[in-house]
Amino acid sequence: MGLLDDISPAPRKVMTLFYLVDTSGSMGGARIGTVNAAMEQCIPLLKEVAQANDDAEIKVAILQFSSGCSWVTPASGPVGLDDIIWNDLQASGMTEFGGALLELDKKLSRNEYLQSQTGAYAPVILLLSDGGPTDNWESGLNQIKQNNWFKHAIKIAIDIESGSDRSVLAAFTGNPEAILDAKDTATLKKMIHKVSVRASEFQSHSKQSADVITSPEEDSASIVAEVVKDVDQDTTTPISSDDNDWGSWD
Amino acid sequence: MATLKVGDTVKMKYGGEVKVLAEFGSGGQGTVYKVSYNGKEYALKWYHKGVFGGKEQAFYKNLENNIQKGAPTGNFLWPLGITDVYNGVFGYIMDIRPKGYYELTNFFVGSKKQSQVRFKSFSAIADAAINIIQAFRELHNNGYSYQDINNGNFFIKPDNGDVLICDNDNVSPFGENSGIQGKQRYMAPEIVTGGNPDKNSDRFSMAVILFRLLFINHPLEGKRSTPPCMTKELERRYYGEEPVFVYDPNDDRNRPVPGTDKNLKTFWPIYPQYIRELFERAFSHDVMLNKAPRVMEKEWLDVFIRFKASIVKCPHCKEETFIYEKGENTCIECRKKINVPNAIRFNTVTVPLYPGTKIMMWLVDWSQNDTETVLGQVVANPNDPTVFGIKNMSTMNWKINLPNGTQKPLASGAVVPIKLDFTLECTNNPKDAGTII
Repeated sequence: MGLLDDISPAPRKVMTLFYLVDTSGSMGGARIGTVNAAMEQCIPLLKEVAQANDDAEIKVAILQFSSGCSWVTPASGPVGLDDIIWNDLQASGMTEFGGALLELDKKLSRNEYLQSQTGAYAPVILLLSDGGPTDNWESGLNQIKQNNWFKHAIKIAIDIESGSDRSVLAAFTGNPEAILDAKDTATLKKMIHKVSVRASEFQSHSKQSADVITSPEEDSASIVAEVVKDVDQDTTTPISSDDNDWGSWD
Repeated sequence: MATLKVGDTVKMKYGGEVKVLAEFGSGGQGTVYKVSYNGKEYALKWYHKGVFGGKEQAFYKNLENNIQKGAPTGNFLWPLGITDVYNGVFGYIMDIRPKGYYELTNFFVGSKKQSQVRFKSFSAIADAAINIIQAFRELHNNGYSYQDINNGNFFIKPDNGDVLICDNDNVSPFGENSGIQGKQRYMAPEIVTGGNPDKNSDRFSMAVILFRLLFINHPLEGKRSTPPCMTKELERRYYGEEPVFVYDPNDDRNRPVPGTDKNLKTFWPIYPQYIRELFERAFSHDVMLNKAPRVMEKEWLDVFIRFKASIVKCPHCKEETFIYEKGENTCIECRKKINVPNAIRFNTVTVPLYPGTKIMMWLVDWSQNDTETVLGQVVANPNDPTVFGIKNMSTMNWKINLPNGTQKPLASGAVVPIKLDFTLECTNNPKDAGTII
């Protein structure tokens, strides 16, 4: 064993990807089924992205909310992509979005979920919802808006089958252009994939111009624009084959 | 034809067409396909629509110029041909990357599933560094700058340090910029704060790449530049306005974060002082902020070729180690002492003489622009391993000048014993002679 065998990975700043998943009664059936399938397939995709990312170590935390809220990932904190086992979510109950925001606010702290020896990037918060909140969401939102981590976070909402109250989503993201419109479950699935990948790669691209510092709300909107473009491109062209030899099937 | 599918054909500007065989992968700027052209397989980079924001024509023209001029060295996976424009979309073909090369990123990160790639030897690290420096030296000498040097552009063989440089589509002639600024953590400070990339900003980015080849960790990331939450304003400060090297001898504000500094603690002390000093200069306050000139490629070659020539096998543990200087050396692995009785002094550098150390053409006469040729190597006498000699590995006869004024030839393949005050002429030019001390 020489010294070269002893090399450790470079320290990376942690970027936590928060999913806020609406599991209220209206999400029942195909909607929650699609979210479950999309998330399950999304994890291996993200792993690939994370592997090629020397800039950020991607961690994930998933909060479901209906009547009350609970962490799907371990309550102890965000987990690495190798450690996620997806358990299908069930849908029932109310849409207590305000309560979910208060819970998230508690965890967006250096003393809670965002502890990191190697430092961190601002988190990405993805909201998946299909309806209007049934609780006092404004007070929850007003509180979390005081949180610096939230202020700097990329905040994107997916409106599932156009069922949400857009003004609520816009208030959450801070920018009406940071909302993705998932018209049907097929689009929803693609959007969950694309937005997760785009958001995780966000720190890691060559820039076209460095002079202007854009706000997190502007960045959120530009990620949304990229995702919309990706999804459009996907629907207009058939999927190409991979590098395997498929022989001649003509 | 925003995206292509298997079986599609695309016309090349100067005749013929490529046929899409498969997709290799997709990125922010475009998708790369495996294609066939004139019976051979190539990679086609096919840009997404609108990625150039109105600068398509300039970009296309620049690519065409680069294709005509040709690759500066064989290390570049250079554009070889350009397609026609289809509704604003186009692409270029290049050779397919052969197997056995790993993206530099994989040398930095690992996970449970894909383990971190590690160099097999220090010689391979030295060769990778030399290959990278020489490639950019030629690129810059040809009047180009690369403009977007980052961890995603390099593919390296961990066993021998062979390097391939990809994504050569932003390469631009002097004074021009394709619109790219570069990648955070690799961009030179003046680019982070809003300037346009050129060969001098390339030189900063290359220094980051070289540092990370040796030390894995990032040269500017320490205590000061690791805030709880890295915002864009802070990135601009730590990489642009006020960057501080983790080992700046005059500024200790940004020392490595304990617990994340294992690579630095292991490797910083063992590399020769001349390498550490050059990094200290490359990342000094004045050089980073352009108040003093950036380290030139030739200076990097000087130290890395000197380093390569110093790598030997430890007589005690048989692992690779370095001979730093004449006198007492310590093995980097087993920490046992290695005594080096002599060295040979050339015009610009002194090479310690111990079985395995090399006399490289570059060290004798760098103006030959030869980074590879080994002129001589130190060997031990098979009958008495404590007696060392220098073997003529070149194809020419050497001239050996003895202290008593006589001159003897040394044929290719022959060995001259190492004796004080012998002068060796290893090239045709007597001015390049080295004296044993």
